[in-house]
Amino acid sequence: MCETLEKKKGYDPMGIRAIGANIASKVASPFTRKSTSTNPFEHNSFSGRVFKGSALISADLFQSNKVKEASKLKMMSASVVAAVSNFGHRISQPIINFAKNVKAGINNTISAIKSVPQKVNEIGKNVSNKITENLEKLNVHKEEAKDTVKVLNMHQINTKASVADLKNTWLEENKIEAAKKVSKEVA
Amino acid sequence: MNKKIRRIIETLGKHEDTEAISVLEELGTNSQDDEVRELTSQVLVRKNIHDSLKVVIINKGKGINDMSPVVAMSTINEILNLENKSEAVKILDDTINMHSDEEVRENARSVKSLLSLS
Repeated sequence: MCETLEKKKGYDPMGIRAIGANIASKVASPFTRKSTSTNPFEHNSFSGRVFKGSALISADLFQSNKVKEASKLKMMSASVVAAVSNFGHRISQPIINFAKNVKAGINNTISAIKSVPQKVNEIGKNVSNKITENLEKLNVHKEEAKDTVKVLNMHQINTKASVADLKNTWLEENKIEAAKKVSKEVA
Repeated sequence: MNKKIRRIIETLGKHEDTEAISVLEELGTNSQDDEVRELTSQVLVRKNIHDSLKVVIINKGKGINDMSPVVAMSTINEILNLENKSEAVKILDDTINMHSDEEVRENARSVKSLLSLS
């Protein structure tokens, strides 16, 4: 057992001489200059080491509680001020937009009022055109009524009715009577 | 006879337009219906103007010369009932003297005789 352990650990049972030679070969002299590099971290190797802690916590370790509270108060006040300023900004933007909209609306109404006389003229022209068209249609209807002969009913047969209308009505009645006679004969 | 036709005939008899007489002559006195011809002749006589009386006195087959004795007698009776018979007598005299048809002249002479007796 002892022999196997000594072989594994590299223990040399020859004596302290061998140990001193080994140390001397392993430990470098601080006065010897190995390289000409100016990097101060050249000989400090962080390879394989992982930082798992918090730098801020270790940085605040030596600060007092009063300072912490003051800083918190400062932060809160700063956040409040920022919130208020943001709130003001949020309120002020709709107001500005509203004012812009009102201004645009007023400008539109002014432009509309300026264009009102033209629109009134256009409306008047349209109305007059429609009236003339209707009058023309009425005149056409009157002329057509003069040309066409009506069939009068019982109440319309009087001396005010035209002779042509009376004659036409008489002819129509004759046709009806003839049709009745034909239907009676057929029956 | 249709009520509407009766009303039309009566309205034309009262109408101021002289064109109504030609309509009555065309449609009324040429109608196949005796009632229509009778009423048309009565209406024409009641108008008591030269143009209307001429239709029922001098035309063969119309008025006093109608083939239907009912229509002829009704027309004669209407002439006899006129208050002012001067225009009717004048047309009867012209018919008796100048009409080409003997039958028409004979009928006119008979009506004038009745007028003289009435």
